[in-house]
Amino acid sequence: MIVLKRTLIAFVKEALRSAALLLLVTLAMFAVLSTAPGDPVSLFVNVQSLSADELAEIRHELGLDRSLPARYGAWLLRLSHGDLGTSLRSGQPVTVELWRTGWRTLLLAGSAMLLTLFYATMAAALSALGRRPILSAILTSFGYVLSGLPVFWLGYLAIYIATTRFKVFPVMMGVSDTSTWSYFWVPVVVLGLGNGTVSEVTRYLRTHLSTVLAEDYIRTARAKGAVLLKHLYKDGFVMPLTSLLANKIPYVLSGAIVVEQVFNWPGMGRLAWQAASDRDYPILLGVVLVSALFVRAAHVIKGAVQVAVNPQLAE
Amino acid sequence: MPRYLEHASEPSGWQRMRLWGFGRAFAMVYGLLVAATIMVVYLCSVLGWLPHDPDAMDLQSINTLPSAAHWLGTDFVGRDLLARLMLGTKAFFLPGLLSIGVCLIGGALLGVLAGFWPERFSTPLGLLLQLLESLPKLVLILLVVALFRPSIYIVLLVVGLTNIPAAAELLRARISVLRRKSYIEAAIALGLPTWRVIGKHVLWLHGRGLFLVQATIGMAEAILIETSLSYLGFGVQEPTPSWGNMVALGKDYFFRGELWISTLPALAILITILGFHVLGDALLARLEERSAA
Repeated sequence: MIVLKRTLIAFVKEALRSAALLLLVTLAMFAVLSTAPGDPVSLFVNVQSLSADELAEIRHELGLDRSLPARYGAWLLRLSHGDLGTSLRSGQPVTVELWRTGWRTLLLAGSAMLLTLFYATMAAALSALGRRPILSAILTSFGYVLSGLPVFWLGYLAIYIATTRFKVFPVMMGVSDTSTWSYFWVPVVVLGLGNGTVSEVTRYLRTHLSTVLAEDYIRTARAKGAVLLKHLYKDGFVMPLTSLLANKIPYVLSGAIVVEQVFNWPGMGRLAWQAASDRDYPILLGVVLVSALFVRAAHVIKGAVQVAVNPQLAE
Repeated sequence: MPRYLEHASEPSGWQRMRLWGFGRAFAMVYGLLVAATIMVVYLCSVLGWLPHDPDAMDLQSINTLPSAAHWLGTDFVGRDLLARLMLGTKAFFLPGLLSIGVCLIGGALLGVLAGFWPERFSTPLGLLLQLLESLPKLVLILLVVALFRPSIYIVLLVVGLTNIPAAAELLRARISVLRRKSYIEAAIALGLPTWRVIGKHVLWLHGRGLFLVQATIGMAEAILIETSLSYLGFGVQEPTPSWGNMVALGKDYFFRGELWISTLPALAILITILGFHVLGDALLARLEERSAA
């Protein structure tokens, strides 16, 4: 019971902090947008064809004659109602576009993150425990190679192998048929192994595990012949893995942009790519906010889990 | 003494190899070699010392594998791949250095401020750090691309700027340890001017290793971002070669089984990024060893 309460408090605390940070993100984004070159009016009308008076009127209607803080306030108010504006390209509300694509990216990035952590845990645990030195050396050095390989080439290779060797291709995602799920794992594997964080995550986990393994309580557990994992899992795995989840998810999301491009995965990354080509900045703004939301969500999970495991962190 | 010596269990073969320092020495040599090669190749490409004209098309020999005439083969219009690969270093070298420079200067400034006057600068730095850690870098860059259509220099300048808080935080953490050391206190008590304490005792004697590590990581990141962006079509544009757009251009041939055009620049990216990564790791390990001693 007390664990539950503690966790809940930590969850709320972390969520509040994240909300404050997201507010800061909106402020930063507004600042960036207000430095954008060009007259915003020119997005709506042909500036040359209007007189100064008419222009001034349009400015007034759009609220552009007000001070920056007032505009930020108005913008934030609309944001709080879930109104992110409309896409300049498709004319659809940004939120609709984000709903359509966001879950796919979350699925891709989330699965890939789990794969990264799984691979790194294997390599790190084998190495730190000193078991199977050859295998652990192979896994570790392969991790180094993976973290240097450009993820787009890894994607090409995966597509090539999958089409020529396994004949499981080439289906475009988003087309609603059943074959998409057999294809799902290819981009996940590519992003999971190729997002460039594998070697770093492995190294971190190994160092952490070695430190924990050298603790007295682990020696005691070993001496009395207890199941090592039972004593090890909290400090050795849960804590670093949740930290890594929160810290590395931005890198995986960055990688997802490239991987979605390679695999034609109709997620947020492709949306962002398209928007960057079209200078469709309301969409990009939405993508920035949603990815920040994903990252902060990971931090909230991390905060809650870590406090549940280690009460000392509650202070 | 390394930590694993205290282990109850016997060190594994892998650990024993690390004990000899063979792995680390190898990493250091490999990393330095890569860094030196990149620098030499960049200078060659600036001076125009290329084995072939990188834009000269030779329709008689397209998609060839390495041969005596073209050491690394040719692409789909018969341009020499070695020349294009060498010229590709231009796409990231100077912008990368710019990114590193901005990051280190800004990081030093902010880190010193937050380290020596934590009550005033520590909180803003922490906030800034958390803010930037919440945003995937490539998403942020795409926003910048959409708004300003910047050149690769500006993009990597932005990357450098976004790396400032992380570099500053590393320095701040180091300074907060250093400040309690008696020789820093002594230096201040002896009446050395503050700038001298900061410049010599903190930044030079303790910060440079940290900065060197940051620089190697920064270069690896610059290459990663430049190639990714060029791959996506927002960075360096054809016909100017970048390792990223070279991979992208070989795509159609890759799926038909002519793997070489895409694979060669990908290998170049791998070897280079790996080089900077292991160099950074080796430097960091050395640094930690020294500060522990």
